Amino acid sequence: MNAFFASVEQAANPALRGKPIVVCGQGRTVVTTASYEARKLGVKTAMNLYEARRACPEVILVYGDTNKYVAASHQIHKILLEYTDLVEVFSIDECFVDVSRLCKKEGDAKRIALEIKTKIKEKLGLLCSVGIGPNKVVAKIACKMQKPDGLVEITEENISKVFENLDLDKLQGVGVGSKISQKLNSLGIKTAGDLGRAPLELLMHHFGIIGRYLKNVGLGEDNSPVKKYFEYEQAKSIGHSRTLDINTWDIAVIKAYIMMLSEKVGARLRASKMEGSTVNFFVRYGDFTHFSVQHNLKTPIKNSCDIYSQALKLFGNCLPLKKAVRMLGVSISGLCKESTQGHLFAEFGKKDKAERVFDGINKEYGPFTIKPGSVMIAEKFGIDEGCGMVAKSRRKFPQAE
Amino acid sequence: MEQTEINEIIDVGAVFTKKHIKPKWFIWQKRKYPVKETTYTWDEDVGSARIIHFSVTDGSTLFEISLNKKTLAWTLEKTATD
Repeated sequence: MNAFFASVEQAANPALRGKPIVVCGQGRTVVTTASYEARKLGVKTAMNLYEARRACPEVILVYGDTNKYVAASHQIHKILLEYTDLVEVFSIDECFVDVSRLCKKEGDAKRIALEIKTKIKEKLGLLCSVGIGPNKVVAKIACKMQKPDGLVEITEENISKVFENLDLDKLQGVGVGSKISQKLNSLGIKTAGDLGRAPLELLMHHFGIIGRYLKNVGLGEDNSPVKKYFEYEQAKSIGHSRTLDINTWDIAVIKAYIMMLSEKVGARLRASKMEGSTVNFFVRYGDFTHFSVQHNLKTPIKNSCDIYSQALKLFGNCLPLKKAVRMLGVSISGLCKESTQGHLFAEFGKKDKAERVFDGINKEYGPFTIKPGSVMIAEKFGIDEGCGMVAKSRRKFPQAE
Repeated sequence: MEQTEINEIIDVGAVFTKKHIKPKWFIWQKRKYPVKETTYTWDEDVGSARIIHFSVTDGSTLFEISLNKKTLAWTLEKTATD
């Protein structure tokens, strides 16, 4: 999708159409998405709001509404699922669709792509770019070649011709980031064609195991299949992070945030019937330096209070604080299916029972309806329930309204 | 663009078709606002309740109204003006 969040806001509000807008969060935040009108005037994603206003004083700030974007994303999935169930959701605004079987029956991919673009425009008022290729990597590269409202096809036969003069920055969406590009440039590799011709040994020597992947990208080769929409991938970790509204030295506030993050992580773990044995803690300071640490446990955990106490122990490594805290993150990895074995002593089962009750209430009435008192300290600083993407496990088929 | 949170229960006149819900007017603070256009619709789950949101305009102001499908209550969520 093109400038997805901003386009949804412009579709929802006619007064914003054709104007430079940015979608951002409330409080201290950065530009999440800039409309094409704002981009033309120099506003870029991830600029802070001061920089955005300096680049374009007339820019209109719109506070993002994740629910709106998730709903739009579901509607797009619904359109794609009319064609095939081989729809792999890559992000909130990107999908891979395998139409190879459909092409055998109903003609060429370009016609199908045009039909999809028209439906999305008619139903949602949104523009998208479509890239057609023999595999996911080539399709993604094709998609990036023409924005907004693009439609580019790279066939198996013309890959080498297209890649010959294709700048490395066009490969950013397929794992060739700016640092890798710089290093490749220093090796004399300037285009995708150069990358395809580069000796594998040279790439492996400089980039390790991803050298082989880079070579394949340069050749336009990718054997990974498009996954089915309803084929859920098991999450590798579950985590939440939060930038505080103001930098703080206040340990009570920091602990409250850690509690809030632990609650969110715990609730998601239990909802997906998982538990994890590695606790990760992340802190970013006011000067943008950061510290992260993880700890492996002998027994996996899922209770919010257990996650909190482990995260708190890890936070102990940061004490005494030398700098004000800007951002905190808690995540659990080493995930496995939750154990259904009961506790030998009834006392130990009390926490599980209590959290099941809390989860039941929060499921019925909404997140954080019932919560630990200390979370209220964090609430004073503002909790954004919609922060982050919707986990694959929470994805569901869109309902017709 | 100025957004104002309202969050007040309102009366709404709406047409329910087989596939869609179309708000036609609503009353807020004793004034009746015609819905000239529904510019966007989306939904969310809050607990077990499904909330359907509508961006609607009376021709000059954009309003966000919502229907709680569990309680059937309509809410004026916010307004946006230039």
